[in-house]
Amino acid sequence: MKLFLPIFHQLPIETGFGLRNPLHTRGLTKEPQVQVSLWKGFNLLAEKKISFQGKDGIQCYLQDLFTDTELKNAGIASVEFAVKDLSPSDKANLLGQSFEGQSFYRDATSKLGATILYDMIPDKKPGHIYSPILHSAHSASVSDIHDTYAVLLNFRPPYLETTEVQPMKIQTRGSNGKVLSESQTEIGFNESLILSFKKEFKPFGGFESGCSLTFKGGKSQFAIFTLFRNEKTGALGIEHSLAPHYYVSAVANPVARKKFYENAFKGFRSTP
Amino acid sequence: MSFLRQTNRSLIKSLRKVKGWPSLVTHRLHEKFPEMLGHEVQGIPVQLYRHDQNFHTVLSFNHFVEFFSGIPKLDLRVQVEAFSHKGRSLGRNEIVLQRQGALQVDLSGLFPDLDHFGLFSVEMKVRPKFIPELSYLGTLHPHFMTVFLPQDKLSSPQMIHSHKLRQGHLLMPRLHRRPSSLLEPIGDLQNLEFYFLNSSASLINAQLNIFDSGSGQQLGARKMKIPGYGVQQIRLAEKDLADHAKDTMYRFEYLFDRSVDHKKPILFRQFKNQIWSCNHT
Repeated sequence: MKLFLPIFHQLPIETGFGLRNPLHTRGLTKEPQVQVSLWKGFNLLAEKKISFQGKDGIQCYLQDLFTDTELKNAGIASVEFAVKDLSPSDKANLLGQSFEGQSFYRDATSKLGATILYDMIPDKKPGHIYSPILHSAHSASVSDIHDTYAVLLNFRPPYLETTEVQPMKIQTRGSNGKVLSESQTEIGFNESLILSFKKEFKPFGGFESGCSLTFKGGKSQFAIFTLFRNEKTGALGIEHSLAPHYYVSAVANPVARKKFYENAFKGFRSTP
Repeated sequence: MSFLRQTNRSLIKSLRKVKGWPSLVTHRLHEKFPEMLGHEVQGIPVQLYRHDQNFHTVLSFNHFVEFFSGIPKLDLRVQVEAFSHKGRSLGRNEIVLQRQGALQVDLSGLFPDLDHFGLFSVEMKVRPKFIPELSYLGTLHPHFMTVFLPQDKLSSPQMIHSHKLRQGHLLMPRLHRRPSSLLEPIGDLQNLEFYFLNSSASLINAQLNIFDSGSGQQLGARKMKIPGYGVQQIRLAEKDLADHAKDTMYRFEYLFDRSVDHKKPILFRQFKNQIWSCNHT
């Protein structure tokens, strides 16, 4: 199970994490270390292990663990419990349960920011076949002092390395739902895409309430966030996002799944 | 009479053993009477609103069904009900979501008499005439995001998703303890405001326990009563926070005397430079 953290190169935002000690919360006999890894493509750039030191929880920023150069070269970070030194029963106990992790985001100058809790994501098994994703970024607030960013973090472990990158189609949609523009990009493996609503809608007269961005494609695993930022003070707000198919049950039904993917990904090869 | 009571209890006990039986019953009813009940949309999610000097509330919808259907005139009917913080209904309003992508609605535009804070619920309906083409999608669930717009020029908008559901029935007493995974460094904080939402019609007794995550020591507790569909605000001000060292990290635990669906209070934090942020806990 992993917690994924985007690394912001274009914005003065630092990322960190918080985890509760499973020795205290899940009754393990020994506390595991926490392994923090920096990734770029399928390369592991740097890795640090930190311990709870008997405390109930730890909180840490990537800047506390890695050098500026290491962070500058990295695409994303992953955080997980290091299970190597645990007993088989502790390992089974740890891996068999779901954990909530916490990610922290703060302005690089004021060091103040926002945080979110979300479930750590289980590792995919070797041979896993990814489906394309669909994301509708519909909650944005843009003004003279605020901007909103759609953040898509692409994670794929080295044991599922591939040279095939499925393109991500991005649509900008006006407040009446009409498609204003359509473009295609590739989000590199273990990298993040960060798109400013203010910038994306500028060619169309600026953002107005009801404008949205739609993402389709990218055959990989994505953690998706909506980030709000006060451009004057650096104040932040963040929330993870849920894809439209989270709200329909067809995706779980093998018979309906094929039609569901055909409708959602017209023009894209689907892998139901 | 006693025999009937016993049979009823046995029946309810057996039904409870079948996971999700209320949704199964609803599902079967929708299958049997589609013209009367429309396409099945399960659950009425709830969320906090604020309408005070710090934040106003905007609901953000998207027509998520349009991604899976080519019907040009497919509209989603969304019913929003708002409550005062004491749980009094402030009325219901309907929004029609056309195939327009996204729609953002200022909650105070729907309910001019909004309380300073409270709970609202969102129900979604799909008209029966769309059932033949949508049936393959199976059950739908309402979708929206809640955006808290700051009233100052320093903070940033905040956002919370919703999947905790309104419970129309009364809840039986059952103690529930929920430790939160949240760690809260108190160094630069001025205020912490918890909003406990009661998503049920029953009166709930709840308690907030505060711990030092370093030593595990309990630092304090706050008890509260939350009326049905009400919201209780618990505020830890600067003087409460000043009792503890600056490098203290809080962790929290919640106790409820009934199994209310919404067990993750919303936390707003204000830093010493007046900036706010929020998240569910």
